[in-house]
Amino acid sequence: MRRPKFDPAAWIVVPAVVLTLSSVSLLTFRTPTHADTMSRPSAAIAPASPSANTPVSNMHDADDGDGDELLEHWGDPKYAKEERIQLAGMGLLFVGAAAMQWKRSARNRRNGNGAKA
Amino acid sequence: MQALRNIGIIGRITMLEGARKQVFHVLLMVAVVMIFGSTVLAHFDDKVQAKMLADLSLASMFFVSAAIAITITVTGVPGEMEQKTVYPVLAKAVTRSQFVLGKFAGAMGTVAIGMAVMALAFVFVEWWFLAGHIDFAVLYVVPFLFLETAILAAISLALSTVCSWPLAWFLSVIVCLVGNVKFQLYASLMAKHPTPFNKIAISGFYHVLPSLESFNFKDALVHHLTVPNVYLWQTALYGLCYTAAMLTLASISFRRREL
Repeated sequence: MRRPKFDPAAWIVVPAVVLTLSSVSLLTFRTPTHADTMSRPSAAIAPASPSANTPVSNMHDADDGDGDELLEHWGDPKYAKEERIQLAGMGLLFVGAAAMQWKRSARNRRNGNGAKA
Repeated sequence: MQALRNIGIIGRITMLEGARKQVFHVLLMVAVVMIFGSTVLAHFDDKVQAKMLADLSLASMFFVSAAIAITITVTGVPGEMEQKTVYPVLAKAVTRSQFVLGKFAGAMGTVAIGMAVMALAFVFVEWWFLAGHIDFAVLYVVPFLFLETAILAAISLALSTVCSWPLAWFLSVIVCLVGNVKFQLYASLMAKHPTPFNKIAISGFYHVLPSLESFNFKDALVHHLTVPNVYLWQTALYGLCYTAAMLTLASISFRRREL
């Protein structure tokens, strides 16, 4: 009897829905409190006006959510660590793919079917 | 050499096919209208107008390029399988990996055509509305937008090999949006004291999602701020590595797929 065809869509959609529902409670937007509106010492020191040749890191407040945090925090160990983790993951993926390809080629060579290895 | 030729042929056909699609023409028209429309919004004094023009135009360029890349790549492989045109191709001396790479190259070719048209429209708008003053430094960001789009296209392609194209399209759009606010979202979610399960899930997604924010330095260029050269090289290398990783996944997944 032929094995039923594996459909991975359900394996992607169900965990995605579960994770979304479980995380949605964390996504509550809060209004600024009095403590947020108080001036911070770092804000008083940092130059606020954007002008030509001002280094990017000195221009904005940290984590202002404008989408260029990585450039503003370039060199920050927190972000460098994330980059290293991702690069290590990619490295593992490449090694795994190369090992799979090597195994496949070896198997094809053994079976005398190396044309499309 | 034969492999490159195969990828080139599939890529050329995919590019021409993509450039003939109605969705490509419509999206391109939307982008050009948005670029010209930014002149209506940017009606302040000269310097602010130039910055707003550049900012709005580059943002439109990114969103439309991403939409073109995602739409073309998610429908590429499933479309070929639906029309059964993939079988004669794979029956020849073309491996599945070459087919996937060809599809990606073709989609990126179409995106390149689109980006070239949008960049020309942007340069024309700057020249026309700012009395011949063109800020060529801003165009520095275009190759990086292309690289960011390549990451999204590679993700869409990988997703389209495991699920139906509407689902792949939806997930790709989510990745595009979340990838652009990844660090901020992570910090905000972690600050809410999540449960251990949530922590693991959030960290997992955080490490897997692409850091698209690293390509977002158009604000710095628009405001004529210094962006370190090493940062640009590092970002380019990261983009290339992430694209290669996603293409590897797409190849493995398509190779294992029952046709």
